[in-house]
Amino acid sequence: MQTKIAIFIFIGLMQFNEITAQKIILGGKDSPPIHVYSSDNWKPLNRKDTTSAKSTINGDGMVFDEYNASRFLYQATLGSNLQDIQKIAGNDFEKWLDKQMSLPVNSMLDQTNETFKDVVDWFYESGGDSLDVLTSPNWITFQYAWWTQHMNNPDKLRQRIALALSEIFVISLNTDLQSYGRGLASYYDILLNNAFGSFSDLIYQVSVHPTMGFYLSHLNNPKTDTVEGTHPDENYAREIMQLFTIGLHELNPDGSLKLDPQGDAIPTYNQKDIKELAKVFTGLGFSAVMPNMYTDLAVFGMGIYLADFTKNMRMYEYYHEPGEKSLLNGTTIIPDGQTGLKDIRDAIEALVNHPNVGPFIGRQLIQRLIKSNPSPEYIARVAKVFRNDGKGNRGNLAAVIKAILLDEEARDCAPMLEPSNGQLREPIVRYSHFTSAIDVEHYYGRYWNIGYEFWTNTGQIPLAAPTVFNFYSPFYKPKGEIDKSGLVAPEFQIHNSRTSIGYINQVNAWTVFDYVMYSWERDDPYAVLNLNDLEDLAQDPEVLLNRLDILLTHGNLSDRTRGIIKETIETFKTGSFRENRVRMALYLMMISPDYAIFK
Amino acid sequence: MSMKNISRRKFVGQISCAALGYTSIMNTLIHLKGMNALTAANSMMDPGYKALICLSLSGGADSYNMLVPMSNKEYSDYAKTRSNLAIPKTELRQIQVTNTPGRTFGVHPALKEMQKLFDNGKLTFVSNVGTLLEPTTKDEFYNQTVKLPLGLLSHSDQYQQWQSSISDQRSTTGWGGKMADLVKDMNQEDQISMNISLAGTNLFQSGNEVIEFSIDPRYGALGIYGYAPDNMYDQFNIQRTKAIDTLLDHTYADVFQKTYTDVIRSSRDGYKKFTAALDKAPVLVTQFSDTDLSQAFKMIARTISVHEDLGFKRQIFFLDFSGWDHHDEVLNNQNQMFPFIDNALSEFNSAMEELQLSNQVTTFSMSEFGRSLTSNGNGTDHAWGGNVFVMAGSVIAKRMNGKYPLLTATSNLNIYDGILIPTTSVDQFVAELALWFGVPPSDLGYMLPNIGNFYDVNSGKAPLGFLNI
Repeated sequence: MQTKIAIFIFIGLMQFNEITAQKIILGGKDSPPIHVYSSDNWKPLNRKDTTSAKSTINGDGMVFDEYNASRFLYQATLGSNLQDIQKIAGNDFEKWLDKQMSLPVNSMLDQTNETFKDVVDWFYESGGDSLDVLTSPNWITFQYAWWTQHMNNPDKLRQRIALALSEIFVISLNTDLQSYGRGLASYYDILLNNAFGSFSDLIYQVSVHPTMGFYLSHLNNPKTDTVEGTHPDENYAREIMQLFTIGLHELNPDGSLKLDPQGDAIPTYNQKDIKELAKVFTGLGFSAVMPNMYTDLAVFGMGIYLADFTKNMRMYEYYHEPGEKSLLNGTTIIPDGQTGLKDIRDAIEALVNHPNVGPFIGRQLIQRLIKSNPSPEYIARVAKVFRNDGKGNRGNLAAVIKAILLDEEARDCAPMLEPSNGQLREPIVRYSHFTSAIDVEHYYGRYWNIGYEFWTNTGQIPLAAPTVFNFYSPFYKPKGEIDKSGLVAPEFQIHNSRTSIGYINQVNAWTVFDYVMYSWERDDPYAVLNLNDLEDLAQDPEVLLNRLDILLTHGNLSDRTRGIIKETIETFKTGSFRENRVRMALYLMMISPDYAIFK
Repeated sequence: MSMKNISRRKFVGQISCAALGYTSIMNTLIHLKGMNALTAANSMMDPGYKALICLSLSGGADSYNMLVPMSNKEYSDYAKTRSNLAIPKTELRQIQVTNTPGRTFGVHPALKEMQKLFDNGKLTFVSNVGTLLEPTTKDEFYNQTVKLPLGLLSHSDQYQQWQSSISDQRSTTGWGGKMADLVKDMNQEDQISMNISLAGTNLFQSGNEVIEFSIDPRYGALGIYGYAPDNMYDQFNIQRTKAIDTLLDHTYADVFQKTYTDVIRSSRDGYKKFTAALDKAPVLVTQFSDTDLSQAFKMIARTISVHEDLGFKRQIFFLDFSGWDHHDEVLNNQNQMFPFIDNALSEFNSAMEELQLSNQVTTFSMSEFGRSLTSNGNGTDHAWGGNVFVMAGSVIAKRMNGKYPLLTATSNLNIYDGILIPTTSVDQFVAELALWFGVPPSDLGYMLPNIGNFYDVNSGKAPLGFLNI
C-alpha cells in the first residue's frame, strides 16, 4: 500500500503541478457540462497503478490523506461520503472531534414523534382507512426515525457512539417493547445525550429508565415479603455488574485478568452480593401513564399497557427494601434509612468506582470502534483516561472516546499492519456505511427504512439483540485460525452459513436490484441509488475502483481483489455498460474480504 | 435469530394483504398436490442411521413447573415453597411413572401431548440435572470444600457449560462438536457438516474439527442470489459467478479475511448439495403447525428424510427456543410458550414414526439453569439444577430418571432460599446420549474430561439408564 501512495504523490507532483491550486474538480458537480472520465492514460513502465481521476486533474496528490480521513470517519461515524472525507482530509482530527462533540443533540424521541406524524399523514394521503391507522409509534417507527437521523443529521460522532453503547447497555425490541416506539426512542436518547457525558450519569439513567426496568425486570420489583415468601428480583443486580460495569473477574488496568496465588481468576462478586444489590433495585415503578379514559395515575405494579415509557421510573418507597445493604464483598455499605433512589445512586457510585470499569468498558468501546484485539497497552491508556480525564474527573466519556479514536494504535500505520489488527465490520454498520458513502435517493426525500429483510438475513438492526448479551460476545472466538492465534472476533458470532450468504443477498438487493431502503407504509417508494457520479467514472474501471477504494476500503483494496473486480467489469462494454460496471463493482466491493474486514 | 422474535403473525399482519393472499393460495396448491402424491408410506428405514436433536430452552426454563410432584406431602411442600407460583394440583396432568413407589408426578397443564408421549413410552424426564465439577452437597457448597462451576447462575457461563460439559473452563468447543469429531468418519459427506444448526453459530456444535452448517428453520440452506444462472446468456450473473468463485478460490493470509471467506465458501458448497437433496424429500403426511418451532422441526424431519442422499449416517441438529428468562410473569409466559413445544414434539414424533426412524432419532432439551423455587413476586430468578426431557423411540418407558428432589425450603439441596444443587451432572446426561449415538465408552473422556468424577466409563453400565443403548 505504501508503494501505491508514493506513486500517487509522485505523479501528482511531476505531471500536474501547474494546476495544483485549482479547487474546482472538472467533471464534478460544479461543472455539469464538462465530463472528464479520466486523464490517467499515462502509466510508468511495468506498473499497473494509476492515479485517481481527481488527483490526476487537480494534481494535489491528496489521496493518502483521503484514505486516512476515510478510515478515521469509518471509525468515528456510521458512514461518510466523499465530501465528508475531502473536508477533513489532511486536517486535525481532534478539531473535528471537538466540533462534533459541541453539536446539539438531535432527540430520537422528537424524531420518532415527528416521523410518526408524517407516517400517519402519509397513510391518509395515500388513501388509508382510519380503522387501520397506527395509533402510536412502535418499533418500526423507531427504525424509521433511526434511519432518518442517520441519513440527515450532522452529529455523526454522537450517533456512532450511541449505537456502540446500545450494544453494551442492551435493551431489545425483540420483546413487548416492540409496541413502544416512544420508549425505545427515549432510551436511545439516554445514549445520545450521555455519549460525551459522565459514565455515572449514563448508568444511572439507564438504570431508572422504564424500558430497561421492563427488559431486566427491576420494574415493579417489590421488597422481600416473608408472608408471601417472595424475594427481590435479582436480574438487574446481576447484569448491571456482569455486563454494564465490572464484569465477572477482577482486572488489571490493561484488561488482563488478576490471578490469585493458585493462578485462578478472582470473581468480582458472589451470589450474596447479588442478593444484596437486588434489594437496592426494589420499589421502582412507572411514574406516568399515557392519556387514557381509565386513569391518570401511575401505581406500583401496574401493567405496561397504559404506561408512559418515556418517563423515568419513580421510587415507591413502601416497596423498597429497608435496611442496610452490603455490596461488593462488604467493601461498600449502603446505610439503613435512605431513600430508595439514594440507595441506587450510592450503589451505582460504588460500581462506577470499581477499578474494573475503565478496562472493562474501554475494551468493549475499542472493539466496537477500532479493532477486535486491542493491545493491553492500548486498553491501559484508555482506562487511564477513564480513571482521570486530566481534570480529575472519572468516567468522562468525551475524553475516553477521544483517547480511543486518537490513540496511536487507531491512527498509526505500524499497528495497522500487525496480523492481530482487524475487525469484521458489524452488519448494521456495513449498511449504514454503504448508504452514506454512495448516494441514496428517495422520491419524497425521506428515509423510512424498516430494515426487516436485513434483520432476518444478517441478524442485526439497532436495538434488536436476541438477549441482553448483545448480538455477539466481546470474547467470542470463531473456530480455526483466529482461535488458534489466541485472538477474539466478536462479530463472527453472527457470521455463519446462513447470515454470510444473507448479507451477500442484501448487498445484491441494494446494488443490483436498487432496493436500498424500504418501509412498510402503503405505496411508499423504495429508496434507490443515485449512481451518476460513479457512472461518470466507470469508463475506466481503474478510476472507478480508485474512488470506491477511498469511499469503502480506505485505501486497503488489495491488488488481487482489485484485479478480479476490474476484470469482471471490463467485460461490460456495450449498452448500459457503465451502470452495470458500477453495480457489479459495488456488489463485489461490498462482499469482498477487503471490505468486510476493517483494518 | 431466536424463536421468540416478534411473532410472525404480527409481522405478516402488516405486510400488504395482496401478498398474504398469494402466499396462502400457493400453500394450498402445494398442499393439494402433496396430498395426491401421498399413497406410499415414506419409509426411510435405515438401521445404521442415528440423529440427535438438541432443543435449547434458552434463558433458563422454570422446569419445576414443567414437572411437578403430585403425591400429597410432596405437592404440599411444592405449593408452600413456590407460594404464588404453584400450579393448582387439579390442573396438573399426571403421568404414569412406575419406578418411584409412593411418589407420583404430573406435567404442566399445557403439556397434554407430552403427557401422552410419556405414557406411551416415547418421552422421559431426567430430574435435577445441572453443571457440576464433582458431586456437591450443601455443606460442601457453603464451606467451599468442593470445586464449583465457573460463573454459577450466570446466563452466559451456564449456557456455555451445558453446551461444552466443561464447567471449570471457558471452553471454545462443545460436546456436540467433539462427538461429531469422533463419529464423522461414518458419513460419506464432507461438503456439509453433519452438525446442522437452525439457530446460527453455537458452541454446542463446534468441535476441534467440525463446525456447524447453519440453515434457516423455514427455508433451509441459503443460496447466493444470481449465482450459477441457468440462462447461458445472462452475462451479468455469469460474470458475477466467476468473480465470486475467484474471490473465494484463494487462501487469504490474514486470519480475519480467511475466516470470513471460509464461511462463505463452505456455505456456497453446502447450499448446492443440501438443496439438491431436499428437493427429493418425500412429502410428509404429518402436518406441522405454522409456528417457528414446529416449522423448524419440520425442516429437521425433511433433512432427516434425505439423509441417504446427503450421505449421512450420523447427524446432530441444534435448535434454540429462547425467552425462558422469566423473572416476570412466569405463569403467563409458560402458559403461552409450553404449547409450542408440546405441539412441535408431538408432530416431530409422528413424522419420525412415519419415516420409520423413530428408534434412531433422539430429541432432548437443555436449559442453562433451573430457576429459584421461591417467587420474586411474579417470577423466579436464576438457579441451578433443573429438569430436562428426552423424546426418542429408544426411551425406556415410564421412568423418572435422575433423582427428583424434595422441594422443601429446608431440603439438603436447597441453598440461598430456593436454588437446588444438581444431583445429576450434565456429564452423566451427555454420556448416556453419546453412548446411544455410538461413541465408544473409551472415547467419552475426549468429549467429557470430567466424566470420571461421576461415572466409571469401564463399568459396562448405563450412566443413567433412560435410553436403550
